[in-house]
Amino acid sequence: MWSKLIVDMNTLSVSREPLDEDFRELGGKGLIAQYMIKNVPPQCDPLGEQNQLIFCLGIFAGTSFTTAHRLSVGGKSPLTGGIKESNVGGYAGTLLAEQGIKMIILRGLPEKEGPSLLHIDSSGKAELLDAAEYKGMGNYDLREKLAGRFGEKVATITIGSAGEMGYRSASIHVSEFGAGHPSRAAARGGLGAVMGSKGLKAIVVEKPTERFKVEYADEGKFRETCTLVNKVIAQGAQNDPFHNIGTISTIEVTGANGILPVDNFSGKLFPAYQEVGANKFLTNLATRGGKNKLACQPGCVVQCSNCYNDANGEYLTSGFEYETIALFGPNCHISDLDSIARMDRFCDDIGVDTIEAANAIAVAMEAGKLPWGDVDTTLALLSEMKEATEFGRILGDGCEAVGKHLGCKRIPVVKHQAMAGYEPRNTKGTGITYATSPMGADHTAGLTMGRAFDDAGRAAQAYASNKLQVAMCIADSMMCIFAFAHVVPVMPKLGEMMDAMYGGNYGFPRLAAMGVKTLLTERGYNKMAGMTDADDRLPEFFYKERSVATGSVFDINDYELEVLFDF
Amino acid sequence: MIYVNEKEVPYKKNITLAEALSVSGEEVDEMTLLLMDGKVLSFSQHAFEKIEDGAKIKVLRVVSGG
Repeated sequence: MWSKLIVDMNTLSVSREPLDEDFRELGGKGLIAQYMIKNVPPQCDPLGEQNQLIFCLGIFAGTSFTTAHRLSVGGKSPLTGGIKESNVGGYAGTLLAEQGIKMIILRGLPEKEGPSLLHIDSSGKAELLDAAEYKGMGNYDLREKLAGRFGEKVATITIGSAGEMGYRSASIHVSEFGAGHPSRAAARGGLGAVMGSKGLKAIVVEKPTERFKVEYADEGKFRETCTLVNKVIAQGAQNDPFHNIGTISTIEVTGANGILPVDNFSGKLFPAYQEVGANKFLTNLATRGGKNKLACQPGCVVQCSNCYNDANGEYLTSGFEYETIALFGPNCHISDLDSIARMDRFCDDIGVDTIEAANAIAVAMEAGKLPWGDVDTTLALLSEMKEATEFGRILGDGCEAVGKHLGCKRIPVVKHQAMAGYEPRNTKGTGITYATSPMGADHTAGLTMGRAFDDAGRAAQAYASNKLQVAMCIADSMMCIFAFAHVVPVMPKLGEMMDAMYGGNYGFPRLAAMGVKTLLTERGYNKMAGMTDADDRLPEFFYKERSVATGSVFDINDYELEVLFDF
Repeated sequence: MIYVNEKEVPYKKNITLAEALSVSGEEVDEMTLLLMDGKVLSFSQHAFEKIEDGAKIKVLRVVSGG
């Protein structure tokens, strides 16, 4: 039977208990929503004693289903003030599944100074250890120290100094399978600050000597169906640019069509977008000993990750992704891929969300704090977060904090969270998702970019956003969304897998109902936290300023947004 | 011979990528990238791109955002 670890930071104690029966069929995003609504007061202080930080596995954890070991992290967000689920790849989910631990729940606040670390050893024993020696350390040094102490094969979940300092853009980092770089991030919503407030610097998970075995209602049926679905996903991945190139390939679509954000979501095109595009990336990988087609966790068939080296062939960063490149690149008028890679490395090390940091820099550029395209000053300002200067602390609190501090009127946030790398005037369904997602401006909650090029009207864009937001709630409860994209031809099979694992004969409607319930639970939580319809809107300038690239404004009206979830 | 997603397309002088794709039956649009002998071409570039005999082309479809 699955276990949950309860980590009480008041008493610095750890207990291992059976997973609640109510949560047996849930996982990932769905599990976090139901746990939060029952256990975390919506009006609590996100960095206070009543908030909890939850790590949990997906519905199919412990099986051979590809990407089943994505790790969801949840809690009340210090950035948005609402519910937050941020999920991440890496190796930790796999080892937690092998340990039979489906949830780790952090509660309370520590009374003593100095951080702790949670160590789960190969026998399954979990204990809190003193981590004072790691205080203030960046994720890269910390990973190296932990690997030296506990072994190279451990998985680590860590925060950098940004999380310790309570920055509202602080991320949580998980080591990659293989090389172990701490470059996979549960980045959004400042959950790193929640982990920091709990006084937990790291979780170290060892491979167990005895591997946990999951229970199936019908193991034979599950294996048969799972093998088929894995095969379909693997076939789909063969023609997926994320597998063949990496997520940077998205630049080639967005850059040519006005979807790539440029100069703080100005709506312009960026003629030099291919300087930060796929060919430059592939050339740099090939000439410097870098790699793509890497799996961040065992068993992934999409393999979208990468290892990016500098001009001397030395490791610079990994998990170098489209969002970071789009937002530190064209959105800050920067066209040098190596400079963006340095920014990515710095943010990964200190532990902040690159989407939030890059948008904050773009807003600062618009406000005249630094010139457009100024790489050196960008790196210097990012360093101020580490040094905890007055501006560095504001920057650490994200895009909106910087915009307000500098008096900028064009701040691209929803629910206080910065937008991802898609211009909402030119992919309006994505704009609807930004506006209405309980997560804030989050592309992973329902990216409708594919509808940007057809003649679909506003109602069709809203329909696409609605359906995709439900679909992403399903995906984020069981797997990586990049693999989920290839399940479409055999979608009902996921319901069959669910039935074979947990019993019953409900088929896909069981998952669809779970997706809807998750979304409505998250929205209900936010309402109880004090959010209203007014929080489901884009910033005013997207309604008033025309995109120079296309002439579009975001013209989805309030009524259309308000009825989006009238299922 | 030209290879589009491993399907054979007869080579002819001055054949463009768009023609080769048309013969192969592969559909392309704004969400498509083309990987030709290790080089990435976007949809907007494919109409006039000349290709060599023996070229290997992969048609890649963006199905989600990064």
